[in-house]
Amino acid sequence: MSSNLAAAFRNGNGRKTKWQGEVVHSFFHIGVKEGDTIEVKRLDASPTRAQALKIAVDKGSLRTNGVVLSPIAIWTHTSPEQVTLHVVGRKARSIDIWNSWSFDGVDSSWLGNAGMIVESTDNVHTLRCSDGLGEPTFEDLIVQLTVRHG
Amino acid sequence: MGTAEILIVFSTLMALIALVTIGIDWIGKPLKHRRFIPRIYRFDDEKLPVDEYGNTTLGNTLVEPTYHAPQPLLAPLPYVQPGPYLQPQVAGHMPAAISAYAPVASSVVEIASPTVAVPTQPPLVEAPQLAPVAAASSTVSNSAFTDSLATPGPAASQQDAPDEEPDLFAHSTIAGTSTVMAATTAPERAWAPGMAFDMTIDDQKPSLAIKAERFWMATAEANSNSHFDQDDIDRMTSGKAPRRFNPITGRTEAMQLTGLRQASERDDVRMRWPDGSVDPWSSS
Repeated sequence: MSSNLAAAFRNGNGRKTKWQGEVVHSFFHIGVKEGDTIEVKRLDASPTRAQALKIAVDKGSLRTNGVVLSPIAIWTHTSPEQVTLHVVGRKARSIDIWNSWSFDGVDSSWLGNAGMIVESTDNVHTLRCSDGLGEPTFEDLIVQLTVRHG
Repeated sequence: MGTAEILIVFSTLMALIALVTIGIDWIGKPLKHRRFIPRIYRFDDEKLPVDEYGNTTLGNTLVEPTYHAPQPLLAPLPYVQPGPYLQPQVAGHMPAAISAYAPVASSVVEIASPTVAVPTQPPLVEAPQLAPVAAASSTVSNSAFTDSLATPGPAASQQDAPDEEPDLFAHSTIAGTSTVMAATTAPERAWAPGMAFDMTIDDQKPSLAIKAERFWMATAEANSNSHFDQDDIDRMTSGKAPRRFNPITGRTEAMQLTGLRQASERDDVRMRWPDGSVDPWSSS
């Protein structure tokens, strides 16, 4: 029995673990290609501390707000509630998504009870994220991702 | 001569110059660090006297001095300032009369007036107590000159009472000469969380690794109730960086520090995980 989700991920395959009958992801993987767009809509976020959704493209980048980057961090206190990301790069194959939070001025991920519960319907994925502090509460950040293939 | 030929000649010349420079640098490197300077390059006053066998004779003259000072009847003492200290700073210059008392850490030599010589052993009096702040500062560093915050003990107050003149020397002591300093043990001089990271111990400036150790020790206390698990807290307590498992790479990553070189306090240092993510909206 692991003491927290991070330990459960570390002791398991690193990607998924079960918590109270639900599958919890340490990061979420979606297949994409160049020209695809990802719409990220923030549904809810905890006001306790800044939360972020981080997205990295395998062998590619993301274009948004006039810049081309990978990985990008969509922070609750800086970004608009809805953003659109364009996949850039001929070799782009997939994106990895995970949650992050700011504690004591430090941007952290995959610590303590951090994890995500993912509900997918076709190309729409709802991510309910828990930051690493305290007990797992999958309401610290709730976002909806819609992948549109170009 | 065409443009192409000029370019070829020019690049050949540049390559030659580069080769010569590399050659000079390569040959000059061992010369730069060598200690022996050939005699021909020495000035006259740098040349040592040499005997007929080619050996320097300067050492012999130093071993056998021609002048012998007459044995003094009184034990000579340097001018000793009245104050809370026992030993002169330079141990090698310590006269026999004082050095005999050196191991007695809890006592000081009372000298009422600044005489050049004293006939007998000076009477021992109780050492004055240092104020806690001064004691801490004297244990922190025994380098350079520090301001003494010594509170005068009974002996000092007796000494000051008759003439009631402000004793300037009593308030300026040299670190490393006080009895408290002599009695300081090694653990007292050790760094503890709450102290500055760049605190020197025994005149040794801490290396970057030691500063990082101190930072993690200080951070362990501040992060006792955070997202760090007990393993990470234990690591920080022992001066090591916390780690996390990165499920994307499948590797364990250690936390990194920024600004440690110039830092003396915890707030001067920025912790970060090795994550190259950028916020596209941070500057807009």
